[in-house]
Amino acid sequence: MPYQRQLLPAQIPMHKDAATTGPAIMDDLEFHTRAHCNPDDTQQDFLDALTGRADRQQLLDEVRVLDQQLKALSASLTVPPQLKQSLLKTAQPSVIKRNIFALAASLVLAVGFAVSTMQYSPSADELAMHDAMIEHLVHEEPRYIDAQPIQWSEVEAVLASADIKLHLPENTLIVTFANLCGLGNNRRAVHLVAMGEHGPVSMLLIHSPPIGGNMEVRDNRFKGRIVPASAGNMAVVGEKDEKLDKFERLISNSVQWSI
Amino acid sequence: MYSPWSTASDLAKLGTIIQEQQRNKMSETPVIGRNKPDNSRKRRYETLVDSYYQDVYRYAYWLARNPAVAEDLVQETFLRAWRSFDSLQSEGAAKAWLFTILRRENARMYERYRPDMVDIDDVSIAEDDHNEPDQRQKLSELHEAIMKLEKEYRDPLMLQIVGGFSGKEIADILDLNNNTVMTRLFRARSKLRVMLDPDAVGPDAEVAADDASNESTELTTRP
Repeated sequence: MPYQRQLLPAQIPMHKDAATTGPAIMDDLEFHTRAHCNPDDTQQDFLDALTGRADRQQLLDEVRVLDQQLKALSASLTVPPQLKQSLLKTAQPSVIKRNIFALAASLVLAVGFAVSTMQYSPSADELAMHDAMIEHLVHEEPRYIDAQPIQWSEVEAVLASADIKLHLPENTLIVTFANLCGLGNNRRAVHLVAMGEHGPVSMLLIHSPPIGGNMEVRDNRFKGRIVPASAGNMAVVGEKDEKLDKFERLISNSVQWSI
Repeated sequence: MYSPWSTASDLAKLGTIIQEQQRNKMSETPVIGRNKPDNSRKRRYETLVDSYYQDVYRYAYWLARNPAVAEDLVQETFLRAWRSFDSLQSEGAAKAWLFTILRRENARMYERYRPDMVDIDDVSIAEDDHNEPDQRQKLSELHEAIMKLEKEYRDPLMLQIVGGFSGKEIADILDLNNNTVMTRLFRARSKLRVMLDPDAVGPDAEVAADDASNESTELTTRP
């Protein structure tokens, strides 16, 4: 019956004057439709339409059984047991804990650095990435040298465009510049700049095969290093006198790469 | 030059300064609760988590169809909620607010990157000894049917089932008009019934057949 198929909920007239015209006004199709839209419908005209109609009651019971099964199925989904505690931690001050973790991580980083620098010799590709990065920093300098703090949401938007996340509470890192750049292989890299004691500090997150070890920046003006991460490379670069380890710790402890 | 985090206390001071600056910039914006003490804000947030985290996770599961992604989504949703908690104007609107954040995060984080695939084997339904084997079988079949349901039908249905939202609330969350939501709820249940009972005849089977041949009927979105 084609006309039935065309008569969807939006087109079915609602009989608000049921009280004056009697309960029998609802036809089977409207009842069927409303039972499927909301089997717990308590409007009087819907309830009246059940009177003396065992077939309608049966249909409604069937749809209600379906709803009960849907609710039972949803209720049976296992909610991860630690989820609630994890969500509540969001509201706890975590700076001290972060600093403890950062300290522990920095010790591991320092030991790793000592070991890796003894053995590591960069490949030609890795040296090329280093050179491209320095060239990029010099080229971009006019854009970030006098930049003012930007909203964290802008930073997040840039990170999201490169499939990278930084799990940092808002205002932890005062970023003055956030942009995508072409460093790395085929995918976009992120260039963030924060203000250090002696000038801007650049933090670059680059999608490229992790390098074989930590690579010190070799430049007349800048200092810093490139550090391999789980799914890319991270570089923190600033002026010669800048203390960069705190920036490096902060980023390395909070970065999450999407592969 | 000025270092943003010489010590933890410097960091805290800096955060306060920035927040103060932002507050001054936004002083015309009427937001309820901004001046409430932090512990009150924290208590309200904890109540929010306690009341809704299970429902939010369960809807996230149906939305993402993957428990690990669902957990990530819930984490991100509540993190966003905490950050913008002051924008919540009424506790009564909290649930719909959370579900809206969840959907936005899902779109932002995953929909662009993840193919629309059904992880039927990746089921995290709790084993319930009270259920008879045939009941468990029925739930398993229902789970499979929901996973196969088109997203446009599954989304409003699970908002109604898990969230208990009215048609109007679902329309607001999905940014659709009410008639479209009603149509999708009708089709969702009809299609599920046909999937669970393929021999069924009548209007449900006609809806399923109609959908298979023509998806164009009454699917208007709000301009």
